[in-house]
Amino acid sequence: MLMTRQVSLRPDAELLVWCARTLVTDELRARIRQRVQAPLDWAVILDLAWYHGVGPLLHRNLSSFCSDLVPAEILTQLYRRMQAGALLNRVLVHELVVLCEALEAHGVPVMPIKGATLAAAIYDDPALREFRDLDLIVPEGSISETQAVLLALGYERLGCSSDSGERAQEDGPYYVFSKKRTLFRVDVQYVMTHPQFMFRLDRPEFWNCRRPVVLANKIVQGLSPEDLLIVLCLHGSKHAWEELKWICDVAELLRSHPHLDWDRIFLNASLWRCRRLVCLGLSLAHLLLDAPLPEAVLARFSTDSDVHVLSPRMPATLLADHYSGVKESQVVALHFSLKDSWWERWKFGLMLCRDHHPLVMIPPVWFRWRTSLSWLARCVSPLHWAMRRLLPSTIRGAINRVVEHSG
Amino acid sequence: MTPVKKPPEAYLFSVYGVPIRYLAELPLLATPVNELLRHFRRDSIDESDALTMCFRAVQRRTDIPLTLSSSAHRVFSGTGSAVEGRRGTGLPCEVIQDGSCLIADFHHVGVLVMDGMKGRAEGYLIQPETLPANLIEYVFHLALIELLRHRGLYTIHASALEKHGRGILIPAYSGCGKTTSFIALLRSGYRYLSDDHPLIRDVGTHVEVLPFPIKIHVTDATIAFFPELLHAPHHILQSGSPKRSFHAEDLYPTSVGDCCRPTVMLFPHVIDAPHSQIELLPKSVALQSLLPKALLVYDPEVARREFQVLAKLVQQVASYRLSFGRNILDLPKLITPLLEQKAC
Amino acid sequence: MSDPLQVTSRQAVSDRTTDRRILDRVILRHSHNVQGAGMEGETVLLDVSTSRYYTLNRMGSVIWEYCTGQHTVSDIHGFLCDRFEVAPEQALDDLVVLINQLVEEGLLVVEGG
Repeated sequence: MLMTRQVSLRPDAELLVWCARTLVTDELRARIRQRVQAPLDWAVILDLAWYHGVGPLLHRNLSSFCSDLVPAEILTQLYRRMQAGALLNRVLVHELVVLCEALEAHGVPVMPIKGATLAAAIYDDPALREFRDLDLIVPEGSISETQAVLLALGYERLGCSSDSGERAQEDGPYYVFSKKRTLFRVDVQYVMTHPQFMFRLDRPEFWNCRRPVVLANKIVQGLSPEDLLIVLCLHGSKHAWEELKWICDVAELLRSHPHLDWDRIFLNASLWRCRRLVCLGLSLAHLLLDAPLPEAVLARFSTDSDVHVLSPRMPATLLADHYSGVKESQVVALHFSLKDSWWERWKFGLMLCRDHHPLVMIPPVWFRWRTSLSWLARCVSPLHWAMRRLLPSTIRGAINRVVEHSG
Repeated sequence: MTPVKKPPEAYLFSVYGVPIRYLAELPLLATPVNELLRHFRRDSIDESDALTMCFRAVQRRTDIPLTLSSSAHRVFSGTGSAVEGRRGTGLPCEVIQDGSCLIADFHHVGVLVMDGMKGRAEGYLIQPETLPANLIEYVFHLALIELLRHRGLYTIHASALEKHGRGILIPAYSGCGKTTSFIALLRSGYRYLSDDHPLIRDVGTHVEVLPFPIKIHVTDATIAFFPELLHAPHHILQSGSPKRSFHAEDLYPTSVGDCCRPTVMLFPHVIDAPHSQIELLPKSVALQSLLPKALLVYDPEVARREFQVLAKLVQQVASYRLSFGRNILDLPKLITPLLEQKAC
Repeated sequence: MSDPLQVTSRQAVSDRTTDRRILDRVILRHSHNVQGAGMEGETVLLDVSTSRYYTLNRMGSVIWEYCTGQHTVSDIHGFLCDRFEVAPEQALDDLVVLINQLVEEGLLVVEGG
């Protein structure tokens, strides 16, 4: 097993993390004031802020309690960007409400997620959360109808020359639409996918527990906070938490909803086999952004060595040694490490071996299963060769499906 | 034998072309209204176009026949500017919108139901024999100005006077020197339009101010400034609480003025200085200062029209801030040149 | 392995381009609930749904004048630079700030994007 390493943030990244929150303690305020007086490359800090989507939070906190210490030009740039972002948010929210109302009018159940609804539901000022796309969950069976409604509203599907409904179903679960001569880009989803990872978003449990969210003085139905937390943690881990704003989302959700139904959260996370991925998201929000968590929740992952080892390695671009971080290109290794049970882990491992996944041969430096997975590959390879030679494809496919989906 | 209830008695008025039929169940409900509208009394009116206002007496609140639909919603709660400065009524009030009806609930005093579109108002006063006359007058006036708004006649909380066909308005609440300014001008020969709530109307080319003569109410502090008030006989300067009152024509060689075009607006405030001063106000500031004293409207379309009239009024007048010093009796010398200057 | 700072710089440039696109495509118009009155170059606005009133200075009045649903934010920025002696960047700042305030108050409605 690899030795765990202390992974620290760069000084400019540390400032960013301290400012990337709506609630700043007096002690943190003092640290921020001290840090901005040290030599800093503000151009890099701004670039980091834009990349990680936390510019508005940085502006709010720097202008609130160290405007006398930060160069005026920096605050001005942040302010301009924040104002432009606020305007964009308003434009996008307006369009989102139009889309939701149009879809509901055509009998399509729809739930907006991420971006606009996050900004409205968990940030005290919607302008604090930057977003670009409009993400909608619709049931898989309503995809065709959804596409028809969007086309009627002037949208066109990206990466698809045909607008036929049958074609939409065959192309897999990626339905991205844009409207000509506008900024609007709509991502219609019923499943969250990534190579070797799939999570249904159109679950009955989500629809049954929807909560109203106010957008531009209109009510739309969004995920309950408990379900939202799970989705945020899965989305973040899907991208190896590369952007700080995703961690902020979890932290602000925890801050704005201090009475979550944790039993329900962990029951569902266990049922949906993503409990440890949720723990990773909670750990990140708690460690990086001081998100409040009940002791009982902290206890659920306090002895999870993988969560402990992996949390400090994200977001990779903020680390002093970014090579030690977990990057999105390594998310398969992340998911392998955080499978909920050994059976799920080794079932996943079998699949990776079968597919000759690069993880087996070139694992990241932080991956503690390298030796075990390598051994598994050496053991399994002859068996796979024999299966290919001796068994018909139909039986091979049946065996693979049993391995993939059992348990 | 069951006592037979007398039918309400009808009183007819016409306020600048708007006919009004007032039905009062009891004489004590009629007297304050007749006093308020004494200059508008008529023997006959065009009943087909008349506003109908009916006041009834009830014993208990539960006797008031009021039902609200599910779409009713509260639009105002408090004592509000409708009550502020209104001769010490200090009446708590809740205003509810239910379709085209506006319901003003004065709790233990009674309820007003007003329908501006239909031109109707029903007032239910609880044991009115226990209520002061000025309170009955106030409730009636509230209903009247709400109905008149729908006929293009708007009220502003101001004093109004006229000299040589040119009007001057002094919008202000109590305690800002409004009535004191008013009397100072009145006694120098200005003609009286209203001490508290003149009417305004858009006649196309301009906005005109219309007299609404009522008793002038004065505090003891105001009385002290003017010798003729100090020595006025009791039957002229009548006692009241918290203010005393009199009719302008009883004390001053003046009559009620005519409808006229206002040309000057003064926004007074009292300063501790020997001399008064005036400064020109930007029109946007004047309009902002005027709005709280005018706009207490719940119907958005009526509010829109009234705002346009107020804006037009501000455009046509010169507006000044009057810093009211101790030289009250010299006020006409400061103000009259403004009227004449604007006329030029 | 690429330098993460290079990645962030590329993202930052892309985002600044997007900011410009916002301005070129956003159209605003007056809310139906608002009544305005011009007074010596300034504007007083009344929101009849809330009974709140607001005053706009000269530049704000010009911005209000052009928010008719016909012009983009970029168009209005151009008009401001023509009519006032103001640095384009400053005019843009003031414009975006005011638009955000007016939208926040419900006086302006976003039309396009």
